[in-house]
Amino acid sequence: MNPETRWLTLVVVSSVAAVLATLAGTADGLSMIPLLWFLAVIPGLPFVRMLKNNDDPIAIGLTAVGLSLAIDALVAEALLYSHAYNAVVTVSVLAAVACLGAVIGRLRTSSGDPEPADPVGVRSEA
Amino acid sequence: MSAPSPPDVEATQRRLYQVFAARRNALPLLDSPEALPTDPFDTTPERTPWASRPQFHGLLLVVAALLWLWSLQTTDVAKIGDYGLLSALPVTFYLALAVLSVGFLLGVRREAPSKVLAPYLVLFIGVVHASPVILYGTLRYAWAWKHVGVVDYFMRNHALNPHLSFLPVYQNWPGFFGLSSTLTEAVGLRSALSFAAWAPPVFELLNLAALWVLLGSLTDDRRVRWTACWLFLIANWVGQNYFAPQAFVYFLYLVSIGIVLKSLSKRPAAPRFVRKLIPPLRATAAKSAPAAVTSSTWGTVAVLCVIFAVVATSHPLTPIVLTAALFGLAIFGVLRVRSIALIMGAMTVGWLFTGARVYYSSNTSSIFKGLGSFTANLSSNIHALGQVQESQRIVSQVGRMQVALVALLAVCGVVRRLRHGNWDAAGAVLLGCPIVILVGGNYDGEALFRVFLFALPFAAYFIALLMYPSREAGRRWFTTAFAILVSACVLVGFLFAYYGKEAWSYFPPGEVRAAEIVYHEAPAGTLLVEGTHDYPNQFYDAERFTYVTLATEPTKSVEGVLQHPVAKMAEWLGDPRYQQVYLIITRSQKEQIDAIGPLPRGSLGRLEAALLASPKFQVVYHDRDATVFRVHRKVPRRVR
Repeated sequence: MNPETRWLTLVVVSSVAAVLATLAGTADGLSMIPLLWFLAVIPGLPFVRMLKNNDDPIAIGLTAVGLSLAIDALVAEALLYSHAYNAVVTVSVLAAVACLGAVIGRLRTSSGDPEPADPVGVRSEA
Repeated sequence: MSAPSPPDVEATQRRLYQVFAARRNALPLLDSPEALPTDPFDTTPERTPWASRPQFHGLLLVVAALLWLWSLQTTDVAKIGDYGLLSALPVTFYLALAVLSVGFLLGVRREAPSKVLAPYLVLFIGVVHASPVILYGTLRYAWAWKHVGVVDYFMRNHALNPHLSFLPVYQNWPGFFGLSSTLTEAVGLRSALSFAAWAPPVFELLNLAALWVLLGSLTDDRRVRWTACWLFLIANWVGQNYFAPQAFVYFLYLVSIGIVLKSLSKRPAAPRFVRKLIPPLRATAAKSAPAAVTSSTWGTVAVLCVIFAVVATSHPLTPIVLTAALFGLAIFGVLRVRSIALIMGAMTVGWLFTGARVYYSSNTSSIFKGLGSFTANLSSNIHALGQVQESQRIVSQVGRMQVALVALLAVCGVVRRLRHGNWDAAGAVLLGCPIVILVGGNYDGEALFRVFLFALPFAAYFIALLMYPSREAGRRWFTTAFAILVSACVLVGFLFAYYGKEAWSYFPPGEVRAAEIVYHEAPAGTLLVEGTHDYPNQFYDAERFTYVTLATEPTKSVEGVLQHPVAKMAEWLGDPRYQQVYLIITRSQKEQIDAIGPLPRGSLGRLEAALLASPKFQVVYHDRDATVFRVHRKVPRRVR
């Protein structure tokens, strides 16, 4: 399994686990752990990886967490405003966003898109 | 003649080296011993300084952890007194902090690897921020309980109501509560109370990671990075890391600034007039050429826009600071993509006139009350110490002295860097931009502390630069001693200011039980009379209540209650306009009144005693921590 497929699998499995955990709603670690992992990391992860801005894993991880929490809040807000909010819908929308991002990332890699240029110019200086 | 075998060559080289080494040792040394070449054939193991050894740091960490665990075992929260939790904590707690401080700063001196230094900071967060969670067993801070109540509202109603009278600001900036509701409801929990108490250590860990990444864009000196992270943790006593929108959005603020500095910035040279003014800057130039704007740059801008949108829609104050920071960075030539400042500004103003227009239109006068009154906003926190208890005066003054010390050292750091010929435009702008809060308003008397909160990461950065202004500087023991001294002063200020108000931030189980009885039993349309806001309140079905707080009632009304407690309270609690009326008096309310007013000291205790002695009142709940009263009424109670 190549790395991109592994990332796609991670996002899809995490998303499915989060939706299942929401449906189960067991109010214990069985629901809490997959949902915390999903909400904190997964929705933003595919988009941060697409940037390929740097190789620092802490920076990538942190940006993924920041973006994921932001996407979570934004989706919840939109559903609250449209009076369509509930947890199952919110987590499902977030899972769809994450899977979509992961699929786009996978397609960009397989279609041989050139690696995005480095915005800080490190590569050109080298 | 045959060539010598390889062992002979090695032996010859060894002999030659020994001859040269002997001659070198016979001469007076011109260089430092470290400058001399080491013997490549010396097979004796090199002596590593003890402070560089991972085993040494591992031992210190284990000692600190054991001291901490021992302190948790021996702390009695009933001893929380005039100096808050400081009165209750045993000496082992302070020893744990001392071991962590000295061990970490010695590790920084020896440039120990990250895997050695990071555990110190993580353990520090555990010691300082997880201890109250473990010791109390209940949610700390009255405002955290209110925020749990907002999550409860969204979970029950599944929609926003910007016109709601109960905490309307959160219906207009709902981002954090939407996220919290999703987590609570998805997991299947009944209330955010199940996890809200853990917010401080979690947010501090997130802030630490965000700051670590952010500082990586400002400096490549690991000593500066680690020292700044340490100073940030030991100076941040403002207490804005609890379960609240500010804590969430502050993390996003640090992440945003980190992304901007890492991917969308450059290091400009000082402007010409500054170079003329400060001679050491004359030789400086831009440290990196501006990179081309690429598709990846726009991807980064898109990521930032999502984060900006949440900052703008989750908190009223932070978007203003972030906008000011981005404009400042643009003006000083740090930003490569200046449009992001405009984007953030447009989102901030746009949200005010769309999503938050209900709140904005009904609170325009109060929002702009302090606009432009810089000195009034500055002093909004710096008065009224004459009314407070002696211990609280000391707590407050120690906190203020810590703020002053941090500010002074940060300014010294800026000056020292300039004298070294360094133009830290980004750091200086981010240090100064939170001052915009003081121009905007007094923020319910918290303006100065919010300025401190937003400036602190960059103040910590400049204090670290004061210690290590360049790669070559700060190698002497004097620097480490200075770092330990500064840390000790800042940490003492932190402990007083952060733990000093726990007498009314901690709610014992009795208070929580009393509040739960009121909130779970009371019918819709209930009037709840409370001594102060400071107790577990508004966390469940909060919009069903009308609230009357004695401490904020007109003076004449309060005087009437205190002079004739039984008659006046019988009148209030018998008010026929309400389905039911409760009076709740708790230990934390009394502590707050006794410590900082505004009611006379002991007044709530006297009121409670008078009502307990009167047959007119029904005691719904009573223990040493709380009492709940109501009067006998004919109105049938709703059974839930």
